[in-house]
Amino acid sequence: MKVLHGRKRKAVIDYLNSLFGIPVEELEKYVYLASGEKIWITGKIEKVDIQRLEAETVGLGILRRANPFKPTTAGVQFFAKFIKKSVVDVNDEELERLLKGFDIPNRFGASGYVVFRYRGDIIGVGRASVEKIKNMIPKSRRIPLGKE
Amino acid sequence: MFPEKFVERYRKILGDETEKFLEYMSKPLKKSIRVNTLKIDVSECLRRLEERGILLEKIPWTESGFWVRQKEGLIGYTLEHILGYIYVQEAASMIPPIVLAPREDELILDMAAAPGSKTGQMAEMMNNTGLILANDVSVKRIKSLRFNMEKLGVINVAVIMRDGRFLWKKYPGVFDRVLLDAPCSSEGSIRKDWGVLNRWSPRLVKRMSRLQISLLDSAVRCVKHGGEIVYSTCTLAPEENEMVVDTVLRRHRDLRIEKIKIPAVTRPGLIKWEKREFDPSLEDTVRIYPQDNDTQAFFVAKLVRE
Ligand SMILES: C[S@@+](CC[C@H](N)C(=O)[O-])C[C@H]1O[C@@H](n2cnc3c(N)ncnc32)[C@H](O)[C@@H]1O
Repeated sequence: MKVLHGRKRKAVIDYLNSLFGIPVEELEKYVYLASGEKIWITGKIEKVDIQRLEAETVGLGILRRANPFKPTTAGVQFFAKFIKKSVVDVNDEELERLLKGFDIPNRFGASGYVVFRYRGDIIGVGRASVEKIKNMIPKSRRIPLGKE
Repeated sequence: MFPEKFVERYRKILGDETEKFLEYMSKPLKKSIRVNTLKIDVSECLRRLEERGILLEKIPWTESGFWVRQKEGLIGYTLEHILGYIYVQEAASMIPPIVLAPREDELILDMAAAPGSKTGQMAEMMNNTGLILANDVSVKRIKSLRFNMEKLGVINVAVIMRDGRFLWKKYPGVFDRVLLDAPCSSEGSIRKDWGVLNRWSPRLVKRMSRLQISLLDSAVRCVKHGGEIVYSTCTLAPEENEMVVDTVLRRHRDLRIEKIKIPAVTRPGLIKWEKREFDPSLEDTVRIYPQDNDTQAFFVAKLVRE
């Protein structure tokens, strides 16, 4: 795991700020690390040099590397309170489709990466094309909702 | 149903109460959840679950833990569960982190962490600050640990995969607190998994005991002076509990047992088992019997390295 500094750190912060409108002051509070195909987030820790712990992973995977990045569901949920942009508000039917693993029609005119929101809850990420929004919520989190 | 040797051993500790103990050991466990305070307020979460018709009863030893009184099968399918606002965790298993009481900005070692129920609970207690180094030897179980941390939105956990017995070589005197929720013969989990009983044998208890002694010894060396260690198991076998703590206590002059106070019905640790007498301070450790709080069985000891 490598802690990102300077330009690389700024690239992560700028990306999250411009895509979701998360304030830079908020993003500046954290440490970002790179390992494998992911960018990870953790808090600023004074007691220990995290690189010296030789851990396999540190913190939460918030982005995947993909020219430049691809947001993760865990990442957008972590910043849930601060997300202002690229949000689509889904209805009951769309929520059910998403949780079952299906894509939904793009009735929002959205483009690029978006966050699915349902009554204020951040459900996960998707990628919009002209016709549909591709469901990027991890399979392990697409449990069907119980019939009440 | 229970192996004869198993019953015989508990008769020595519990006498006439053994039948009641066995009766509780054969009942299914009550389902319980913890609200993930990293993602939602307890009151807001309760309101949402109640709206879904799920009745909850507060667990006395924690502000964020609840027994689920209704619609048991459904809780896993609620949006609250899918989004990681709640986590299903057995009520007694919430006790070791509460006893360890990790604080914000501290450096914690969770020596046998997977699948991370207690790691997540500690991350919440620390409000996602400081760092928990979560270790386990099992690749498969580490995978579920990672999954659980991700779902809970935990950022203060670093994952390593090593044999806990040797961790002290790499991290001597480093941590403010260490949790050793040790691998054990899992007697306490019989209520969850009857298979445990088929695998149970006095030989398994002895084998686990040796491993636990090495792990606890390593845990003690990993904590800094002035730091604290919690040793817990989900078994009530004295060889895996008091005897482990007593053995390690004798090896380290700077180690002492601290009394545990918790709003649950607990019984003092044993100071004698078969032919062996333990240090009298073992009385300050706690045994959690299934019949006392209608939970899983647990043993918890708190140690201070001076
Ligand atoms: C009781 S479970 C831990 C449960 C966990 N603390 C929780 O709350 O979710 C014990 C764990 O010890 C691990 N283990 C067994 N031997 C070990 C060793 N030598 N070093 C580290 N971990 C070990 C097992 O893989 C198992 O995951």
